Amino acid sequence: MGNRFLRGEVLIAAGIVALGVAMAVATLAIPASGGYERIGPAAYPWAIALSLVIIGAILVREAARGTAPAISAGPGSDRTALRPFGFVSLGLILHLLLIERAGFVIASATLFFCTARALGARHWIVTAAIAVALSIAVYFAFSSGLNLDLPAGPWLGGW
Amino acid sequence: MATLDALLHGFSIALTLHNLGWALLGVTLGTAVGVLPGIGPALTVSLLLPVTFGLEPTSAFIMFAGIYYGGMYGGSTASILLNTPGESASIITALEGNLMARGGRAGPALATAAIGSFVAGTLATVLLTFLAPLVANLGLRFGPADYFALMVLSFTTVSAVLGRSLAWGLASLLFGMALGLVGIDVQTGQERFTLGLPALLDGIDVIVVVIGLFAVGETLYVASCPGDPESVVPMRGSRWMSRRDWARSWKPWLRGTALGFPFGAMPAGGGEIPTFLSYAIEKRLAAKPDEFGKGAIEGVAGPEAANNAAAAGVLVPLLTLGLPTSATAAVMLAAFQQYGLQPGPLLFENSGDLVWGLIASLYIGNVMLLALNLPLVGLWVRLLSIPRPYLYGGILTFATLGTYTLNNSVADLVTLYLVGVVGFLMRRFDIPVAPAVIGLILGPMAEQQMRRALSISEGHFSIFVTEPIAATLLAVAALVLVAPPVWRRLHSGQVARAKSRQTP
Repeated sequence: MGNRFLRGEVLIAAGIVALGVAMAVATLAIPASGGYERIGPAAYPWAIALSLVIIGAILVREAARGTAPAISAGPGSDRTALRPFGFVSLGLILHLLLIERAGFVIASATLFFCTARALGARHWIVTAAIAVALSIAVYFAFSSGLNLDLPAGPWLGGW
Repeated sequence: MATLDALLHGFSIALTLHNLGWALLGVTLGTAVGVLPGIGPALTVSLLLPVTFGLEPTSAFIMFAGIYYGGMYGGSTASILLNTPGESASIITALEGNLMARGGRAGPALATAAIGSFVAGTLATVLLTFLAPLVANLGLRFGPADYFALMVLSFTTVSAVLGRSLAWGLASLLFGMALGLVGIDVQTGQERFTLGLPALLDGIDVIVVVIGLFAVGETLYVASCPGDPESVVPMRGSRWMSRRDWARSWKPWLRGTALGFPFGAMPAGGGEIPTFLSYAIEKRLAAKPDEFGKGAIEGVAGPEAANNAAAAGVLVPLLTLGLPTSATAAVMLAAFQQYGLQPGPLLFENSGDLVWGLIASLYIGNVMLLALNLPLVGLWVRLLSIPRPYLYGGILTFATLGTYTLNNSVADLVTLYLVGVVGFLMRRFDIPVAPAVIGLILGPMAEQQMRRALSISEGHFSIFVTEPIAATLLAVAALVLVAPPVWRRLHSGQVARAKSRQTP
């Protein structure tokens, strides 16, 4: 564990306070007029924004003092590797950019490939082949078998 | 007996060849996805939701019930053979069951889990059958103030029960409630927190958040924080339970059921508490308590029964009051809403076919799952040995597919990724996820009920104290928040005093 973990926890707790403050600012823009109930659409957001700030502050204090109950970390290691994190992110972002432009099969195969690489798949060609095969199989299973509307893209347009 | 008639009618719907087929497909897919390491029932149900979209509601929910129970069965197989609990309620099964498997008793461990799940699931479904109409009748008498109080109770128990501390639980809950506020306010048409984006006018979809938190968050976590991967324990020794195993299992099954169902039916966070309690009780009652921690069959039989009984119990508040008390139930509620149905007391009157068809299919699904899991366990084991890169590649393929097909919207995919990053942080820092899911779906409902109550009382908050049901529920909720810290302080005070007396 050590200090890096503790600092991360303080940052997250501070992020909760920040979320509360941001909500409060955004709530100012909501008119507070109410009907019979005398409270309008702004009352509930105020309550949540305030609670976020209070709970966040408590957590910041706990984390900074180190009095928070210990983290029972999962099976993972203490260090976060940024490269695989970036690869999975890249896959997801490419997927959402590609799905309506290039179609489901290409978007999904790209995502599968990036994710598998991030998790240590070694054989480029095998991984790519599985990615494409799975995406095509899923496309036909869902669009013909279950009548779901998946974007075909320019290549499968005629099917 | 009106209930028996209704149940028979339900069977007449569920037993058509058509619906039996969907139920079989549901339990098979549910088991297959649930068995994959790290996938709990909430994610199983979310990922398989698109499969049901093309069906009419009754068949869809019959299939859905199968997926729900199938996910539970599959999860216990993964826990026993791979020690990867997909949810907190299977931690105990993973603990004791995996030790049994390592000791060469994987067969009996899997069998006692499957048969125990069947016994508990069936008994709990019987209890559900007779309890649900009673609770629905009670629910008809609930006013908005009472519903609001019930939801507040649900919020506090979920935050207090799950995770490492109440404060982190509340933070998770509030995060979910904040997300729930995004969109158009139903009562006034006022836009809130939409950041000017048209895509946010309809609010943030619960299903997208569940898939993001569980599937994307988990994949990011596994990719960037690789630990030592657990290896699948090979099946050795007898596949079946011996006479002695039976003798040691049947009482824990029944006790687990008795613990699991009431905890599931109360707003107490689903299966986590009863599985832990069941383990503790079995350990105390066992003939050889020292076997616990080395692979005792009672320690699998009891908690696994408790877990499945709780899963059925959770359906009582969900179907009769529209109150989800676990992440999985929140997903089911979202699925009902997707079909324009609102679970609650009126569901039994307005959609009797659907409700009773669903309940009947729970009985049928349990029988199918027993048949599917005992002889075919070898098939599911093979799914466990999919290499992890391909496994997570596949999980994200289905996660994005499920998200996109909800509304055919790229904006949902953006939300999916952003929520996934939050899910990664929550996983990394051990912050409970279920309160966020409950807050997201229940938060807007609680706001509506609160405002409805206040418009009845013309703005006087006293309505929450003068209505007896509401006042009682709110008092219990306050107790859940206040009692543990006060008790701890008193207790530590006593300990300190005792210590100071010892050291003069």
